[in-house]
Amino acid sequence: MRQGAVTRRLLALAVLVSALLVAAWADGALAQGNPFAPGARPQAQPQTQAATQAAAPAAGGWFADVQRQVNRQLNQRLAEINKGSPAALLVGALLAFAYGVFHAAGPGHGKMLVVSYFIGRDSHPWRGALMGSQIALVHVGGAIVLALIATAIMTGAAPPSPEDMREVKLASYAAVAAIGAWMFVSVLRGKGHVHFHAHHDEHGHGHGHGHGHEHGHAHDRGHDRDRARGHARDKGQGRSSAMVSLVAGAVPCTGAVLVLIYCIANGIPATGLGLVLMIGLGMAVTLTVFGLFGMFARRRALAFAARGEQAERPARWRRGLDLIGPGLILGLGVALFVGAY
Amino acid sequence: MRRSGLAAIAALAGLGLAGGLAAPAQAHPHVWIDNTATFVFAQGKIATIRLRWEFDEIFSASLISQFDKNKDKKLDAAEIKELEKGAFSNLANYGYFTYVTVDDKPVPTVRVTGFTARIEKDKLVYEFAVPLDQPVDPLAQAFSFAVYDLEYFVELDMGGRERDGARYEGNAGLACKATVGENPSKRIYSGQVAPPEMRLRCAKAP
Repeated sequence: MRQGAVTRRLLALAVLVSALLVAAWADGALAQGNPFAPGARPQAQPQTQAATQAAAPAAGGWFADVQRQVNRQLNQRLAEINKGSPAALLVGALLAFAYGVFHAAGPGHGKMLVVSYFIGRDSHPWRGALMGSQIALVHVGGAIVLALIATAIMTGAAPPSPEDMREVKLASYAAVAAIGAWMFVSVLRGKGHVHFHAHHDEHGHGHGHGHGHEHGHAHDRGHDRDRARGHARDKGQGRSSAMVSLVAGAVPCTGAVLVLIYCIANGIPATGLGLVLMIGLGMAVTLTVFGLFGMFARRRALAFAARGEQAERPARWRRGLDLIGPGLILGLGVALFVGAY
Repeated sequence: MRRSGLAAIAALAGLGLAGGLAAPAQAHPHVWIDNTATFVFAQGKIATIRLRWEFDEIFSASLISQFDKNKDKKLDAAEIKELEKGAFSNLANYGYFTYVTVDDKPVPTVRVTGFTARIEKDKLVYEFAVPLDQPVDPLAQAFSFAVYDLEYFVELDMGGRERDGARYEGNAGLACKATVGENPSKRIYSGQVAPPEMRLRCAKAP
């Protein structure tokens, strides 16, 4: 039932974010990332940027190249799907999945957010998958809303590229920083036992501290897996992970919006929906992997701490990590905000 | 064992660093344009560059759905005017993605003329001309031309790799050849992409 409340809140927030995006777009007042759209401006002056980047190494060039190929292939397959090629539909679905994988792995704050989140909390791996899926669903939902509105309203402007809008970026980076700060403060106030201690590989069973101090839940001393499931409804973690998912996924990607607009315009909305869900699935896979990586890093660090001589060292390390996770999120939000400002 | 713990700490530090360095770029490009350039000569000098841009079908669809108001798959004069206002004029902020270099010095392209658009087989086509305020003498000056989007939202194909993307008009007495290559000193998208550049060489026709 808590999960239901969280879902409702999440939906309400998603509607709010979508409404803001749409208002900003229809208003035309916002600088948009789509260079064809009125008001868009390059974020750097052409000549100077070319000069400063002249010496830049081609680091990540292969990544940009693969991504470019995937984007282009998906684009071309889509045109073939529209002409009724079933083979293209299959290839298109795989490409959409690859697009999602690369989109989530590429530059952006979503994956860093996920890693930082799980560095700061003991979590069962399923929560990583849950968060990855939540982010992807929020993302896909936002794309659907934008595409529907883009097809329904004659705005007299090129379609928006929300992820490139400066104001949208600033707002989402500020939200990242705010969530980081909020989580940081709750850890400080929680005096160390903010969340459940689910599984230490050294023990094979947990201590079941629950959220005694925070919500007064009864302790559950069952087995690891059962307990993790029981605590999954834990309000603190459910809420913070939902918020992180919302912020990481709220700004829909241009690729998904364009795919949907094309499919709606050509009378194949179901195909568009399927492809965008594949994009979401690809994103979920990548983000889950990053989440698991964050959990792994935390576990290794704690295992290392447990090998020390001092008895209090593991607790100190745990508390340190509890603060480092939210601290990273806060720092990430601030750094991105300052960078985009 | 100790080593894996240290590795974990290093990973944590690296993650923090990566977060700070996260590039602003997104999953670009999203739009593809096949660019064809026609170099228009007057008195033996390049006076105007006429450009034809053919958009990919997906982006075409999004613009057509916005601007072909009567859905007749054709753009009439009024629709073209709206299209220019809503999805072309703003490119002034981007120098119309065009880069002209004369004797290794950039010549800003600030105005375009004669914009028109039409729909050809589900693809949107733009046509417009970039006048050169100071016509270029290709026999005496080094001339190169490129079209690219610094932010890589759009990828423009110069057409040189598979076909000769350059056309000529009014070049009587001159034989010209365009070669397309990458200019490694101009990289975009955080240095990850080297956009193609066209170098034009002309000689007196025999």
